[in-house]
Amino acid sequence: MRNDGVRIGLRLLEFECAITANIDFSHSAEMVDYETSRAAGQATRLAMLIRGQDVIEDEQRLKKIAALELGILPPEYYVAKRLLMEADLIEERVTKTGKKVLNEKVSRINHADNYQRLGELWLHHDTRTPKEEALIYTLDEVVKAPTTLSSIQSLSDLTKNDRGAVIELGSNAGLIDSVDEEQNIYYSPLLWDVSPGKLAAFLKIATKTKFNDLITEIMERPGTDLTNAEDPLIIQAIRAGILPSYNVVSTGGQRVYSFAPYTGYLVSLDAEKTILDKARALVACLRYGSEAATVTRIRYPSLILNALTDISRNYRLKPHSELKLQYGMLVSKQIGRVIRSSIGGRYIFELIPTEDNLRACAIAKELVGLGELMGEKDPSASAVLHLVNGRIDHPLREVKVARRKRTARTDELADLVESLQSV
Amino acid sequence: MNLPTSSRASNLSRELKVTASKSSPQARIERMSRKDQDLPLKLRVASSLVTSGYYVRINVGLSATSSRGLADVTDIDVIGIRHDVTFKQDAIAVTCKSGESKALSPAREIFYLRGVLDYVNALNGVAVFSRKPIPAHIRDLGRRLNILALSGIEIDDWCNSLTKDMPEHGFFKESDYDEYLKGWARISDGNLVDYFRADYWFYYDFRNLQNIIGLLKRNAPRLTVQHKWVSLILLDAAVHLCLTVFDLCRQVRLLGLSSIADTTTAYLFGGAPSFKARKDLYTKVQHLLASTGVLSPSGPSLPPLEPIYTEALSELAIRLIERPHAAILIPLVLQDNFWRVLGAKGVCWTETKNSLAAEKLAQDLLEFIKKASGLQWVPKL
Repeated sequence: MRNDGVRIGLRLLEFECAITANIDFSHSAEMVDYETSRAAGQATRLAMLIRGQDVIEDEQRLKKIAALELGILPPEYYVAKRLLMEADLIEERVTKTGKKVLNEKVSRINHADNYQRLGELWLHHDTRTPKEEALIYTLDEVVKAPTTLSSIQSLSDLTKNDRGAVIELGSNAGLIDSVDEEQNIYYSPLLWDVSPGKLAAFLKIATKTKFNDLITEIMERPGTDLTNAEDPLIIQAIRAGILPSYNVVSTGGQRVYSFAPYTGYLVSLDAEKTILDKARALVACLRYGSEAATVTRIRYPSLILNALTDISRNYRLKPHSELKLQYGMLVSKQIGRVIRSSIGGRYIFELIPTEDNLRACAIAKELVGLGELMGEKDPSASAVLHLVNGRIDHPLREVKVARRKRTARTDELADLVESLQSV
Repeated sequence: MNLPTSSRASNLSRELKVTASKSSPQARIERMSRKDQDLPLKLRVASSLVTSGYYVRINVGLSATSSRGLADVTDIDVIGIRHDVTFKQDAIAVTCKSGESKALSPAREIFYLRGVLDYVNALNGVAVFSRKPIPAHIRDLGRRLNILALSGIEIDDWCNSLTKDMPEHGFFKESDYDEYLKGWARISDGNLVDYFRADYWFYYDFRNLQNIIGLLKRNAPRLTVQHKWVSLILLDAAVHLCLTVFDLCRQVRLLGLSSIADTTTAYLFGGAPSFKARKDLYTKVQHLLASTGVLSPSGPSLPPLEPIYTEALSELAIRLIERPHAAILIPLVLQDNFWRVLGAKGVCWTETKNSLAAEKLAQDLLEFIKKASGLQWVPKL
């Protein structure tokens, strides 16, 4: 994580949110040691606030909103603004009539890019103190999986007093908390949607390495099929609710799809937890459709989610015989309804287009996107024609050379793809 | 609009390129502008249309395919383009004739203009004849074909009505237009010149996106100097690209915002079916290269099929779609900056949130071009 700008950016945002929400005297002497991280965190929050504005013509008003909504005082605002300018997320401009305005350049599609820019800025600034560095790295460790503080290098490098101060601040801010005082294992209550008691009980039987391996595997593919898991660790993790799991039953039998607890979102509010639950349920149903459906298998889950959120299709999927059972769970979670189609034996699934459900679809799309596979088919007739008429003659020449077992160079591969791209 | 007679073969764009290699682009462009007897009339009409909120160009070449590539068919004397908030294009084309010879037939010009209007998907046309009277029955022909036919003093009246009580912007002055042509002549790549003069209007769809970026990429080393003529070329290229991005925005809007990333990628290849075919071909090539040892696991991998700027293009499209009232002003903002570079007074914008956003979005477009084409700089608006 040490050089991962995106993760750092996310941690900085969470750190600043937690300080603002949970620390009463956030301008105490102790907080001076966290100045760089707070400034970067405030810049991240400010970036999220102005996203979509394009132009801010009244900066004074923005300052007031930042003070009211984010608790960013005017002097802090200027520091955050400078950081945003350094990260090229805003720029100052003087109009033709001499008016000063701010141009907003925060990415609206690739959110990770915003976090990365600010995370990298934090990484390149040499003004950060060992204490704030330790807190950010610790937070990132415990967000991934509960861990012993002694295993976190940046925390171990601190003096005893500093270490105590960092842990105290982290605990008071609600960023880290221990599940078991004796073992000194910490987790992040802000970002784990599981019960601390169950987590503590589970960690008694799981070693850190095995647990980390399991979490890593499930994080790589949200909605991993663990129906036939025999590993006691997995069974215990599912039973204890450490791995949120969803049962889907349809014509292909019963399947269990599991998710890692942490999703990258702040899920502190109950309402957000409900949306996350809905998103996971959607992903579980789509995974079932991809892997266990007996009539038609879903090749592109994201297209199903697009169709579900498409107003021009009345938020409906096409009629299918398997829909009634497969999407039954979504009905019980009030995500949608199943309607009998006029075609015999077929059903239509229709999303109930509430704000929560639409957001759940958006989150589900992001979850699915992580592990989406592109279907492979034989080249169509027109594609074969391209090969025959020599439109990509360069790669065909290269195939001859390849018989002599020479591997392609980067520039040759780039040329080849350029030929494939040409329109 | 110059009508090629049946006995005269069409000029081939590619032939022009051969000529370009023999004589410099500067000499060619100067020759072209000297021959144009209708130029003052075209400039007058163009200047008047700007006031009505059109992005205006003159001498737009139209071509068609021949066995040897693209061949020039005719040109549009003046074309004005604007968009509505759904990014749908509304265009007007004008044919300008200053001659009075018997060979000049207003009826034929009107029929010809109707064809040209259909070709560029424009609804309205105007045929102006400064020295040729138009009989009543020819005017009626114009009415039936949705073409306004004007003659003599009527042209002045029409232009004056378009500019009445509107602030003077100073666009399309003959000396400035001359300088603009000289600016283009300084770039030695005939392909780039021909592309924006004629080929762009032949393709006028998704193909222009990759083609413009590709051309600018190839010319990036020549466009490093922060000079007036480079600004002109980049602003000119930006407007052309903007019109195509509007087409993308329209596609995205029609297919649903939630699938913007998929739509953008598919658009670059001409739609979902052809993108899928291309992707299948790519996968086959990848397998073929791997199976023959050209692609080794330890060596370089095949770059992705999607151009590297695809995500940035989606980002630009979403910004435009989320603020359509400002977005559709981008061509006008770029046009304004373009003529200001040439010394014009420019449009007096009332600074509202919308106009400021339009300027900002125009800058976003230029930044996208810079990133996608690897240019060292783009003009700051």
